[in-house]
Amino acid sequence: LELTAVCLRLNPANYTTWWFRRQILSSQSLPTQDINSKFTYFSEALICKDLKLVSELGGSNPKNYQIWYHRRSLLEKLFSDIATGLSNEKTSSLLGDELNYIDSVFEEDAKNYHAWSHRQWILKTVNLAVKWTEEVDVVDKLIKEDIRNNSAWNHRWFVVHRGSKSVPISLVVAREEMKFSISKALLDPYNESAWQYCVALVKEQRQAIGNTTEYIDFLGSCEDAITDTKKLFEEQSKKDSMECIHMIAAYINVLEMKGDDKSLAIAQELSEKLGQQYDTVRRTYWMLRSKQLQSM
Amino acid sequence: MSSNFETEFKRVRHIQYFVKCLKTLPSKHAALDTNRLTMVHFAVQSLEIVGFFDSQENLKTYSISKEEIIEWIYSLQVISSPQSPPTSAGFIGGSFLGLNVDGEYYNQGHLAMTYSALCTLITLGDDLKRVHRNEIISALKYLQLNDGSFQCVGLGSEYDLRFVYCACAICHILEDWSGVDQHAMIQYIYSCKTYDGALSLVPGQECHGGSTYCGIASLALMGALDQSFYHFNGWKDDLIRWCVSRQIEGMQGRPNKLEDTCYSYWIGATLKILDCENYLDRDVLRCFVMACQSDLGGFSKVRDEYHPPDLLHSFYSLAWLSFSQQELNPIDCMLGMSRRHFLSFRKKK
Repeated sequence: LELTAVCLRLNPANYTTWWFRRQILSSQSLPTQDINSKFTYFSEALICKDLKLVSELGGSNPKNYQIWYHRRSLLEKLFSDIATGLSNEKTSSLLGDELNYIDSVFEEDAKNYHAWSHRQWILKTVNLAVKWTEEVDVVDKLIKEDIRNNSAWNHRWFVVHRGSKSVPISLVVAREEMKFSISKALLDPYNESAWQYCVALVKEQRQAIGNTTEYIDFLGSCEDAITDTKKLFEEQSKKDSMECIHMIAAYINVLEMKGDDKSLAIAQELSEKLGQQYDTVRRTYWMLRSKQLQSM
Repeated sequence: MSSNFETEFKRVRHIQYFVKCLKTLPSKHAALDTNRLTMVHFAVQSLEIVGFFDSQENLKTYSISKEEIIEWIYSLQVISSPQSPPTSAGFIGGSFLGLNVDGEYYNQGHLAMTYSALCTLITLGDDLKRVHRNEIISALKYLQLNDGSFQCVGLGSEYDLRFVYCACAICHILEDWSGVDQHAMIQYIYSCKTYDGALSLVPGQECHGGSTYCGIASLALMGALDQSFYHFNGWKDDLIRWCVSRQIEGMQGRPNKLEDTCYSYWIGATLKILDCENYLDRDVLRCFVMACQSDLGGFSKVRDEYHPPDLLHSFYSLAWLSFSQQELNPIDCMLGMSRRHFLSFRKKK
């Protein structure tokens, strides 16, 4: 163990060294391995000790894949056991500690991709209702600190869907999420994250409940929110709302989803204006988009 | 524009930079020891882009031998025997476990190193006859997981779209898909679709330029792009919108993050695969990339004095530039290697 620690301090990216270390840790862990379990068993004492070493190495290497993978390997069996109800006070406290560790990494870099992946893995693995609920507060806090933190927005989507990629949220929840994202979009109409979240909510309901009156109503509420925000922005800032290119892009998406001639005409006009004047770096894209809308 | 480019472009400096990297890397790069093959891949591809290998004089002046590099790469091929674990075939990243190693539990090929090796060998004109094709292809079977994704080593590792891409590139180069479950890979890629139209590294995670490239390039290599866009109505539009929205002047990797030269390639190549590379403002992007050019050769990730050039950003900057600058030899946007050498490799067979 000493030897691997020395080697890892010299090169924390050597995956073979990490693997050796895990072999040693597992052979030192009692009781002996359950051959039926797909996860390696490590004793809690050794897990705690090694997490300390890993955190030490992780400090100056926050984006090292092997370090994050080692944390996960250590905790895999324990956290899977939580999901099947085989947990105890010690494992719960390890769970809390691990989430706190990730929080500390976020203090340094609230967009650290590895940290977010690790966090999502933990939440899905333990799958505890209380953790899903608590997580909404975590996301809220990060969005309050930086309304443009796209990682936090993505995590909100993840949490609200309880980590599912296939089950859409209900219309009731979607309405609440729309309220939330619109309120944030209002605070910063330039923010792509908030607007894309809105558009995604609408798209998801279209898929989930089809072209029903409820959907049309929901789509309409999004459109109203955008036009309200545009008006408020212009009143308060005395600037042209076309400047908020991500809001206008979202508006174009919504108009396209409405699909009636009048909406498409507005969308086409907006695309042209963006390409010609307000978002010229994307001129080619917007001119083609305008043509596409014209032919619809 | 073109004549300006040649005066702006510090060709000789770049050659010096990449040659130096090929020979030694400073000690703070110790963490790259297990990934040396990838560093060599970056350096060789970059030299190829600037036409270094076309002149025998260059090779003499800088004492670079293509044959020497080829031999070094082959010395990193793991020799698997019937006793070796089935995942051991392939190439290892460096000599940290010795050279010409026999496949054993802790001596195994690494998917990204195998990918790097094949690309570099082809670019140096090798015919891959000494590559243990069958063993590499069958190792893939064991590296693929139930969800369709891949680990990079038989010892166990993280699994995500990066290694799906490596696997696809390897199969495409060796023209042998028998070691992978394409359907499972495709499903995994789909599971990485994000709510805003791009792809994350693992399901549930944030959209990202690197993973988006890996997924789209993989689908393209499998010939599954068209059917994917047909299956998911509206996805192509969303994806294009996402990609073009990443441009500030340079490209960012995710919404509301900073510009970084390597995303010129990750996003630029993705759009090129979709036949939409002109949707970016390439003049503005070129300005950004050229502003990140270092006086000492190479490119850094951003244009400030605190970030020296590094191999990764140097290669990906050049790779994107090679798409539109006729003074440079282009990179293949799906494989990430010299287009002309890959085509001539194909012809030889």
